[in-house]
Amino acid sequence: MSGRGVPPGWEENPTSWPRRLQVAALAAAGLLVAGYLTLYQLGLTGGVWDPFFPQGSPKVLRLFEPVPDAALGALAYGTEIVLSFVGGEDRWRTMPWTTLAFGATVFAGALVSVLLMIAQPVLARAWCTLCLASAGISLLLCGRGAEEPLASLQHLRRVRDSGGSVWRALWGTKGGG
Amino acid sequence: MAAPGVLGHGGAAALSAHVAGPVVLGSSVVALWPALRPLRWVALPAGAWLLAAPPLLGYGPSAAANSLLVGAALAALAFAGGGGQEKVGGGWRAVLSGRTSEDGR
Repeated sequence: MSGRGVPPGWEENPTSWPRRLQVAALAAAGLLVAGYLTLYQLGLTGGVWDPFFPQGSPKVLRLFEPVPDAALGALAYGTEIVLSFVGGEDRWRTMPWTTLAFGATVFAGALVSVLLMIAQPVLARAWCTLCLASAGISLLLCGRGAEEPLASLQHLRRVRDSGGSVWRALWGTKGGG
Repeated sequence: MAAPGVLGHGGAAALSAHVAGPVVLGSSVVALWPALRPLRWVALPAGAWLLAAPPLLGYGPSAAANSLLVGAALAALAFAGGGGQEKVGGGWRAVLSGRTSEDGR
């Protein structure tokens, strides 16, 4: 094991606290944006702030009415924040399920963001600044966050190759690896 | 993404740009980090599509010029900026092959 918490063949520990706090801060920014947009979609605020497309935001935000789709975004950001705080500094090998769940969330968030960026001009025929900002945050989270599940999958592969139980390693019990 | 609005073209050219734009933007942003660097190759088929679309869909002159120019640039740039897999233990390939870079792959 080369250095505490650094995966074999890696330059840095992808699940160190500074990195995870960075990710959590980014997700918190996303949560604020998505939360604000959810309030508008639920009719709790009269208007929505948009410096570039003041006519566009309402059209985009009413695209899936009555479903408050921004709430799903807020839920995803919230999940990412919670998952960022689960597990120790070397959770990529002690609790791989956390990084895999986190990776699945950021990947789904990025995928949905790309689809929504397409939906804005194609379906709503309008743009929405804060929606684009949220999509940008989701992409950054996915790019930054993908290292965590990658380190875990490499670890699980090593466990399997050395004859250990991938299932037990996934949940953090000693897999014999 | 912005080309149809800025250059003022509509129809099939706008739809093509509105789909290709976010796909390229999204894959390129996540490919900034070594772990998802392989996704930069999404730009290659996207660029090829932008090169093929003007004759196939009958673009106007400005939309065609923009599509050809951006398509050529994307296809070429997909080849640039590889590497970085040594920083992440051999990347996703190591998961499939079972050989991380520590083993001297």
